[in-house]
Amino acid sequence: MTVAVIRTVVITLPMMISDIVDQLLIDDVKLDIVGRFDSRELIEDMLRAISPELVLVGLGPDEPGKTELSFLTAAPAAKVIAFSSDGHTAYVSQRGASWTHLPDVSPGAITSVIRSIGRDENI
Amino acid sequence: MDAQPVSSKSLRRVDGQPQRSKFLIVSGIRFLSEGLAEILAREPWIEISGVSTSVSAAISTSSALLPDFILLDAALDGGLAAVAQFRDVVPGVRVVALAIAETEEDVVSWAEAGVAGYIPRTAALADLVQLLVGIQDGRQPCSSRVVFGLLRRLGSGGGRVRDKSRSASPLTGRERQITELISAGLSNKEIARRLNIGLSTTKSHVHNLLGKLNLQGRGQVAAWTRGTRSWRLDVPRRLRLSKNPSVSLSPSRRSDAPPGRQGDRSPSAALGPDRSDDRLLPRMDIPMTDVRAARGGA
Repeated sequence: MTVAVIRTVVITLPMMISDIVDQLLIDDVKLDIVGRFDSRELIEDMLRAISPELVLVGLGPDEPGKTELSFLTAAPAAKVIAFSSDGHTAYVSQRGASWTHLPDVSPGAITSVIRSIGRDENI
Repeated sequence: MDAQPVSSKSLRRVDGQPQRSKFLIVSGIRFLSEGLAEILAREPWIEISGVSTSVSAAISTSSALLPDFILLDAALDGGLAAVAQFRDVVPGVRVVALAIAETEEDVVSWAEAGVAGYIPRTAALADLVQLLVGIQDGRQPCSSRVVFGLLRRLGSGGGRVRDKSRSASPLTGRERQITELISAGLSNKEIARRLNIGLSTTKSHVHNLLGKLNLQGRGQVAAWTRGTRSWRLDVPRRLRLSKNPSVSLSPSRRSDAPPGRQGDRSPSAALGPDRSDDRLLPRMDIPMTDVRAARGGA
């Protein structure tokens, strides 16, 4: 079975969570984590330089929604999964398209979104 | 390609596999509980007996499931108080607190609650599996900072070694501190910030102390405190109330945290960035291994 490799950047998301995502996909997708950032400092420059296919981002408690993520314009081709600060909800977007809300987000919902990158599908 | 256990490369034991154990995972975050259940079930020594999204549901089902371990998300409301309840319902069960801030205060709080071990909030997935193996063997790796803090607590009588005047109080050291702060008019949120512990932990302490003192509310706590000053000396000097509320108790720990994250251990903290400087300190007992290195990947 072919394993798709996806260039991934992780931003302000605990390692445990990104590891869970990585391990859930291990059969058919390899997350090539090319950048991991604990803050948003200089993040736009980094995203432009890295040009990831996937961005996993953890929202802070002072970030009520995905509207705070203006820096993502620096990665216009990336699919973005933003986890809410309470962990219950995720938001998904790609190429500046509208956000899809995933309430009570399950492992299956997240892996489905990421696998669609390997198949080059829109969400 | 079949999914391999996280420990397949990173966890080597010369004395054979760990003893097979049943786990109950308790977390209000579905992605975390179900994701961990799926991944931990790949470990040959782990059997997932159940997943629960609330403490009350977990307590009611644990008597039937009879888990050997309960992996309890520290961010859950009532989690701290639930440890003793789990141990009452399932004698011998080992409760492991998941995703705690590895500070002296939080570690002591959970230790006093009766956990068998803890997983720091900053742990990676491979760390989790290794830590669980260690806890099963009766080992708890922790930072030298936490060890120093525990020794200091024991040495100052803040632990089990108490004099008669202290043992006369039904409250733990932490609960006594919180009664002081309640009496000073602080809200739970302010107390959590003041003591650098989580809001849910604070709520658990308040719930417990109200029950122990048979009081109905915060006003009664203040009255009780005014009438009971014998244990006031137990409150460490650095936790004395400051006239200036902006003064931080632990400026070195707080100064590098992003806005809104300082001292926060609400459910949001479980998934928020953690910049604890403990990550930079040498750890004791077993080394931490990065899961990505184990996979030979990035």
